[in-house]
Amino acid sequence: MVNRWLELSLETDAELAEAISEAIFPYVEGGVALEQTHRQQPGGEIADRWEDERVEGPIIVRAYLPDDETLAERKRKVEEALAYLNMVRPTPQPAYRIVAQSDWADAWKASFKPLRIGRRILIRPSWMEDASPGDAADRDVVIALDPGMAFGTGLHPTTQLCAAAMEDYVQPGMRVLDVGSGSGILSILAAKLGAREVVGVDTDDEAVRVGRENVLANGVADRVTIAHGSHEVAHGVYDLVVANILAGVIIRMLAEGLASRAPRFIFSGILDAQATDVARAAEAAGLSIVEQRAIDDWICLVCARRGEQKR
Amino acid sequence: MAKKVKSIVSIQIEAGKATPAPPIGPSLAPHGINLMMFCKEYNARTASMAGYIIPAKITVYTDNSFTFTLGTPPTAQLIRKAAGIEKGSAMPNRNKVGKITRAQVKEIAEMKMKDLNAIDLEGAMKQVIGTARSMGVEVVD
Repeated sequence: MVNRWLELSLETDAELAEAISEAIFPYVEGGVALEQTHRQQPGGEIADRWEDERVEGPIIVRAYLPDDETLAERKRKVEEALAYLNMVRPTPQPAYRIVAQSDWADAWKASFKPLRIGRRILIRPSWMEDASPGDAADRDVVIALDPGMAFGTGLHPTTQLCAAAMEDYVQPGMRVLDVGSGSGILSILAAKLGAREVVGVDTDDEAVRVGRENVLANGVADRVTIAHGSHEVAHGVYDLVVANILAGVIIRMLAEGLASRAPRFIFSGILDAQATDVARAAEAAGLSIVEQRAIDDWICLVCARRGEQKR
Repeated sequence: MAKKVKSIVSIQIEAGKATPAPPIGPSLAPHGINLMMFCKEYNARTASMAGYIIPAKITVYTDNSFTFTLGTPPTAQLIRKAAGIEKGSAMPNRNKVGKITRAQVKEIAEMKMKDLNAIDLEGAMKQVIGTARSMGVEVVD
């Protein structure tokens, strides 16, 4: 994976910003960012909120080219596109600078504090030295976490819904499959709630790496394995499957036979408007809805194989 | 008390494909935004619009909190659709690749009005015409 990029930025107005984005879009990675920052008043004070959040002032168009063998060719094409645009309307020259993933990957950590979720789960950022947060009680389940660039900080409603449901449904000795394990937060939680064996799977290389590190840091490596891939790579049957991904992925996995893997399921990452579709897919796969929980417009569904005894 | 806006960042990416890589990482992280949370929200809310570029407008407040709204596809994508062309001209000054009518300009301007930062419809239409011209698309009556 590339972790150095050439950033190009151009200061322009709203009309030209769209045209520049369009011209360079085919040659840059991922997309384009347009930033409009309010100019500070002479005294350093930022003016009161604008009407309708309308911001006056220039727009900075930013785009990124990976620093690899394609760089020279992409840069040439971007400059060519801007030169042609310049013949129609005066277009500023881009400014260039090299940025590295490490420059931005950790920037948000400054605002990540120990966090309590569910009834007795405490998420502690692992880069914080204090090993025992003052308010941790004996019965707390403490998870040390560095999510890196993987999903699962405990801050998002989908993770919180899943974690709270797991407190109710994970029984000691269970085998748990965590599909889309991300930072490993839910796999680690399953082990700390007493699961005998936990398999976490994720299709993202970075998530697998980060997940394994977090498993080690929490001392549950004897019970938790993180593997690369989707649910098919985890063999055998489980007592519980946890999937905090997105509605579309859950529906697809149900069609692929996920329902045969366990008698009970916790599905999360579902928006209110998508819940009916997921419930329908679960029912078509032979599951019934045991419980539905919600935070804001996010839904978590607990399902059981039909005919299984309800808890 | 109303929060004070610090910056507005509009990210133009393909629906459902947000990752913490560029352009999202380097343009949002300096504002203290939790990248993975943003990506999860964006991907969930744009899942049904695959194939379109759906901009996300992120409003960052002076206390580093943020809100975001999803926008309409970029003007250029709407112009291409209206003109029935796959891409704009590489040499917009020389090669004209399509035409759109003033009525179509008005339609696009109305759809884009809330995203265009224009004072009125006329201003929005002017921006749409400017974008069309830069793509080698002529505006006809």
